[in-house]
Amino acid sequence: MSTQPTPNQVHAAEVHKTRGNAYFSARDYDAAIKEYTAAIKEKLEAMRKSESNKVGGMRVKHIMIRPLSKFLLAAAWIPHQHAHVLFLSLPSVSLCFTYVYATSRGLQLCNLSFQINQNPAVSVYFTNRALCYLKLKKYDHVIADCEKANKFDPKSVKGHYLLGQAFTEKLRTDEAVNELEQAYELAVKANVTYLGDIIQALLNARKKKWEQSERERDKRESDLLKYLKGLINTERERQLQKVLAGKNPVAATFSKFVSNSTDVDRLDAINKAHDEKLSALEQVFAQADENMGPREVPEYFLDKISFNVIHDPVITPSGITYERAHLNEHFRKIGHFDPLSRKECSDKDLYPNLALKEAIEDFLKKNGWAVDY
Amino acid sequence: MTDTLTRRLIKELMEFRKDPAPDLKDLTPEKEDDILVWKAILEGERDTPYEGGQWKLRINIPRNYPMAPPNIKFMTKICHPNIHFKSGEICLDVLKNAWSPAWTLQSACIAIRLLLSNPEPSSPLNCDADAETRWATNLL
Repeated sequence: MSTQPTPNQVHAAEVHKTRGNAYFSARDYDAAIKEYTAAIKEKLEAMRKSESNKVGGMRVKHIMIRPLSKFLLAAAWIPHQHAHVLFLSLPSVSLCFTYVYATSRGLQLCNLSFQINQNPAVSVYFTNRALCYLKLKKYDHVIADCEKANKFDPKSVKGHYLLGQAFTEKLRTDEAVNELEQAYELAVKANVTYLGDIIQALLNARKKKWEQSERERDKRESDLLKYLKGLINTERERQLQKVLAGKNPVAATFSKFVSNSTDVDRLDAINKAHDEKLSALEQVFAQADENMGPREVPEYFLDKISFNVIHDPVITPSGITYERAHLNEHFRKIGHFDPLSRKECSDKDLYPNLALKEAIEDFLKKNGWAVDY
Repeated sequence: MTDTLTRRLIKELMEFRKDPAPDLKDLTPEKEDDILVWKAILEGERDTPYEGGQWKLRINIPRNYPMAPPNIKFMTKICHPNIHFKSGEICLDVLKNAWSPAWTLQSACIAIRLLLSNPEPSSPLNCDADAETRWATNLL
C-alpha cells in the first residue's frame, strides 16, 4: 500500500523554495512565506511517503497512522522477527521508533532507529520561512518554525541563530543566549561567513538580559526606597503627635492665637531632623545608582580588530589575543600573519584563551552594560 | 543594533578624542550623517621642511574596513616623492598590501606623517620630487 514519493513532489518543493527566495530578495515577505509554506507541504508529503516505504521495506503489512496526541500509533508486522508488532509509537519528529512485539518468549520492547526524520532540506525551508517572519517581526512564528527546523536538523546554524534573535525580541533572554551560543559553536564548525553577525546577536541578547535584570533591580530598589521613606514619615508623624498630645487641650487651642515658642521650636526640630534623614536616604540610593553607571572596559578584554569585548578569545603564537571570528576573517581576506606582531600565523596555530574567556564572563556578569561597549 | 564597522569607527573617534597623537590636529567624520568619509589635518614635523605647514587629508573608508585599508589622499597640495602632486594619492605600503586590521585611522595618519620626514625614493609617485631627492642624496 505504500507509495513512492513522486520525483515531482521533491522537485516541486525546490521550485517553491526558489520562488520563495526570489520573493525574499524582492522583500515581498508575505509572498515568500506562501512559497516556503508550499515547499514545506510538498516536502513533508514526500517524506511521509518515503517514510512509510522504509517501514514497508521491513514488510509492514498494515499501517494505521492516526495522530494520537503527539504520537502516531501503528500496528505492523516485522517479518524477520516473526513477531507481531502490537504497538509502534512514532514521535512525530524523532529518530527512533519504539515498538512492542510478541514472540514466543512474551512481549518484547525494541527501539528502531531511522534517519528518516532528519532532513536538512526541510529544515532549510523552515529557517527560510522563519527569516521572513523575523523581517515581519512575527516572533512567535519565528520561534515555532525554528523549533521545527532544529528538530529536522539539530545542526542548523540558522535555526539556532534565528531562534535566538526571536527569543531576544520576546525578552526570553536566557533562552536567547543559550540558542545563540549553540549557533556560534555550530557556526565555527561549519565555517559560515556570518559568524560576526552571530556574535553581534549574542552581544545584543546579553545586553537585553542585563537590561532586564537592571529593570528588576531598579524596581526592587525603588520599592525599598518608598518603604523606607514611609517609615521615616510615620516616625515623624508619631513624634509630632506626641508633642501636640503632651499639651492640654486648652493650651492647644490657645496656642493657635498665642504662639507657644518652645512647642513651635520642637515641632520645627522634629520636621527638620526627618527632612534631613529623607535627603540622606535619597543620596545613598542615588550614589548606589551612580556606581552602577557606565565605566570603562579594560583594554585587555577588547578584540584588537573589532574593538569589541571578546566572546571567543584565541591566542596567537605571538601571545596576542583576538576574537576568533575576526582573526579568521583577517586570515581569509588579508593574509596569514598576526595583525599586530606581523609574524606568520594561521588558524591552525591558534589556541583558545580560556582564562581570559572566564575573566571576561566574570566581568560581564558584574558589568552587564559592557557587553555592548 | 549598529553594525561592527560603525561601532569600531565610533570607538576610533572616542580613542582619538581621549588621547590624540601630537601633530595630528584633527581626525573626524566630515559630515554628521556619513561615518565613512573622514578628514584629518596633519601638522608638519618640527625640524623638517614641512614644519609650520598644515595638510588636509580625506579618508574614504571601505565597507569591509578594517579588513581592507582606508583610502587616504592629500587634499592640500604637497611636494613629496611618494605623494602624487595632482591627485594627492599616497604610496605607502601599510595603506596597500602591508595593511593589518590592527591598524587604525589614527595610526595610518601617523604613518603618513612619518613618511613626510622619511621619504621612500624606491616607490615614487612624484618623479620630479623623487629625482631631486636622489640627486640631493647623491650630492651628500
